[in-house]
Formats: sequence, structure tokens, C-alpha cells
Amino acid sequence: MSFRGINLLFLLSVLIALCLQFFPISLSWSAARPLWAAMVIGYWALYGPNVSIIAAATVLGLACDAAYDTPLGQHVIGLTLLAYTLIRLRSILGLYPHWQVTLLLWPAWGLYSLLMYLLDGMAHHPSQSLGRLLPVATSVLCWPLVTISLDALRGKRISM
Amino acid sequence: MARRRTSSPLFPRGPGVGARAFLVILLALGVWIADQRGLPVLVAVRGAADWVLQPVRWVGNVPHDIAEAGGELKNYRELFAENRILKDALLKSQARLLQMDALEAENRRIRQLMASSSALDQKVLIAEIIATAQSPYRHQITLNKGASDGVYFGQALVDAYGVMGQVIRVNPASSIALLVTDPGHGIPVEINRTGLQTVARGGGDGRVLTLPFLPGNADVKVGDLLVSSGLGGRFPAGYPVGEIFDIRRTTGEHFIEASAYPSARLNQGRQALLVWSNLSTPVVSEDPTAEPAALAAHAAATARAQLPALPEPLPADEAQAHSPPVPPLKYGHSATTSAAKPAPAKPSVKPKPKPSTAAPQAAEPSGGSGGQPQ
Repeated sequence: MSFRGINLLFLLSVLIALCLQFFPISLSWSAARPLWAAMVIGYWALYGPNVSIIAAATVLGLACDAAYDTPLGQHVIGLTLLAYTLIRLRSILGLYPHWQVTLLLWPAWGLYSLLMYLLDGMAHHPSQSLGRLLPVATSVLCWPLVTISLDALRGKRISM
Repeated sequence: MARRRTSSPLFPRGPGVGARAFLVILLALGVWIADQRGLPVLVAVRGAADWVLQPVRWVGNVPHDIAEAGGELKNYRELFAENRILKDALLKSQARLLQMDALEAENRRIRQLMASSSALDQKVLIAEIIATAQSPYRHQITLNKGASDGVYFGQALVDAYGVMGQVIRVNPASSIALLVTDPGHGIPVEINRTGLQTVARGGGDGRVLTLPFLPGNADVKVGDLLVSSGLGGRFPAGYPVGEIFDIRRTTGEHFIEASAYPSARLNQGRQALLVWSNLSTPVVSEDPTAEPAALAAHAAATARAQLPALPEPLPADEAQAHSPPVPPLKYGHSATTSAAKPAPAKPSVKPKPKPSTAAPQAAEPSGGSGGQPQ
């Protein structure tokens, strides 16, 4: 895939992640909403070529902050930290097949959720701590879907 | 001829990814702290971000709108049945409305007699809910009306069944409202059957309200209706807020705790009513978290005053316990502390030794007992 095509796909995936993140669902289901923004940032950090992942994390984070009415910067911190961590780990995780990476990534989603929980607590907006684990579980389940879809769109050979 | 770049450079220049991430995190942390302290510039930034997000919200709502449109396609028989039900409901409502008109007129006359300034008619505006339940930890909805429509911070939001919440952020073309079930939300209520005043706070799970400051001897029953009391001036009085379904009494505690289901259908429907308060000055503080604290302190003071004789009351405390329970309720941190303290005695009024003389004092209407910031 050409450089321009990759960039277009990158932007498109970020927009789709935003739409999925804001898609209206009932309150009981929204507790289990997968971390779409974090997963897209995670995919491009792990498998993407030189795309502006930190800039994308900043924009996505600001959008999430504006939409969720969290203090500005909260999601930016979480997504940037996630992107940086996964970029550092890409040389190691890239060696493993997708299904193993799916299992290895759950601490990353967990740490992201924990960071959001801590920052929410510091912003005097406590929430049920156990409820924070639900998006981690659904993100682990949805990660293969994200990787397979984006790999297919990039024309990469899918190997589980 | 300029060479067209087809791929990323092999050796990219500039700061490394670690340095960029560090800078962004540092900057975001600074913005996060500044936003906590209420830097005015960030309000504009948030408004701009919200404006940019409007198309994304619209796209996100498309599947829901399509499903809703599909649900509205009904056959003739269904429409006929629905029409008949609606006609019946309209007749019943009109009958009740006639009764309400008479009651409203009577109420107005009584209020005029009491020299009350509160009016019964409120200006309302129908707003469409464009986003809801985006996060399970913040029970908020986004409305399609903003500052350009005259929406203001702290404005009450109701639906056909009861109070939904209040506006906590106003953007140029949209606004965000905090629902009554949010753990950071508090609303002054009274039990419709007995008139007992308390505060209903959000339970945090999106389904219930909690009433944590009810006195141990309070006359509360399962099924009691909670209506907004209008204390504080933010919510109009008399709107249904919830219905009590559980009462918990703890042995040895002076307070009992009750739980209620909200009357408003918070996760159903696409419209809500923004209600203009009759007060000319809407709200003093812009800190929504300060209100529950102030109201909680006020409710605790009210409940303390309604308790039967507490052990070892001092004479001065006893006089205060029988006196009107609250100082004028204001919003903000300073108001929280002032509401938590007992009301200072007026210098001109000396405490009287007999309790029988303190009671008439308590019955006197005080100017600030309504707690409405003027």
C-alpha cells in the first residue's frame, strides 16, 4: 500500500473509532463499550509504519475529553502513554502471532483503564472500580476484529 | 522538477517519539490541572472541540435514527389502535388539566395572599438529545440547544415524567446536562406526602437516587413520591423527582437512608424540556460539585433540627435547634462552610430562656429561609 493510502486509512480508522466511541447505546451496555480509540491507537502503534501516532493520540484524546466532559488532557495523557508504550514494545510484540498479541495486550488496556480511573478520582469523580474492568474484557475480545479488518484493508496477509 | 515523496523517510529527523510523547504528556498534564482550576480559555477550547465533533456525533447517530425511523413505520391497524389510546389519554389529561387550572388559580390566589413571589408558569424550550450515555461513569446527555438559544449554566432539565438534571456546560450550539443519577448531582426535594425536605443524590449506577440525610424518626414509606422543593432556586418547585422503593435503618444511627427510582425516563426518549427559572439571577457558582455539598450540609442541618431531643444539648444549641434551620443557602465553597455551621444568632435578638418562647421565633418566616440567591 502506498504512503498516501496508508495515511488515508489511518485517518479513516481514527474517524471510525471516534464514531464507535460516541455511538449512542444504553447505559447498561455502555459500561462494556470497548476502548475503540485506544485500540486504533494501539494497532497503528504496533503495526503501522511512520504515521503521526502521537498527534493522533492527542487529537483523539481531546475529542474524547470534549465528548465525555472529562477535564481536558485526561484522555490525551492516557492515549499518548499507551501509544508510547506500544511503540516501545513493537519490536517484541511484532514477533508473536496475532492471537498471542491479543492475550499479551490486556495489561495495556487494563493500565489505560486504571489511569482513567485514577485521573477521574483525582478530578473528584469517583466511579465503581470493578466496572472499569468490563471495557478491558471487551477490548480483548474485539482486538482480533480490529487487527483483521485493518490488516485486510492494508492488503496484509492475515496470519493468526 | 520536484520529486514526489511516495514513502516515509528512512531516517526521520526531529525529536524522537519518546521526546514527543513526553512533551505531549507534560502539556496535557498542565492543561488538565488548568482545567481543574477553571481556566476560562479552556472553556473556549472545549466549545471549539465540541463544535468540531458535531459531524462525528451526527454520523454516530445515523444508525440509531434509521432504526428509529424504521420503528415508526406502522400499519393502519396499529395506527388506529394508537390513535384510540391517545384520544383516551388526551381526554383523561384534559379532565386533569381542568382540575389543574382550578388548582393553579387557587394556588396563585393563596400565594398572592402569602405575598409569595414565585410564579407558576415557566418558560420552557424543547431540546433534542443528540448524545447520551457515552460513559457509564458520567451520567450526562448532550442537547442541541446552547448559548445561542439562551441556555445558561445550572438550568433545570425535565421530561414529561419528572426532573432529569441540570445543565453543567454551555457551548455555542449545544449544551451538556448532568443527570440526577450522577453521583456528583444533588437536588433538594421534599416528600410529597409529608413535606419533609431533604436532598436526593445520584446513586452512581444510573438507576437510583439516594436520600442519605433523613432523620431517624422521619415519616417515610416505600412508594412516597419525591418532588423538587425549589430550595436553592435552581430547580423549579413541584416537579416529580423520584419514588422511594427502599428504606434502610441502621441501629444506633440518627439518620436513615432511602433509595428512590427517578421519575424521569432518563434513557428513553429523544427530547427534553429546558426550564427557565423564575429567578432573575440564575446561579452564583460555576462549580456543580459544590452544590451537593452545600445542599447536603443544609439537609443535615434540617434533619438535625427535626430530630427529637439529642443527648446533652447545650442551652444555646437547643435554642438554635428550634430556630429556623438554615442560613440563606448559597452555592460555592464558601457557602458550603457557612451552611455547615449553625446559623449565627442575630445580635438584636437575645436567646430566651424558655423553650416555649423559642418556638414562635422558629415560626417566623425569615427572609433567607427559601435559600434562593437573589
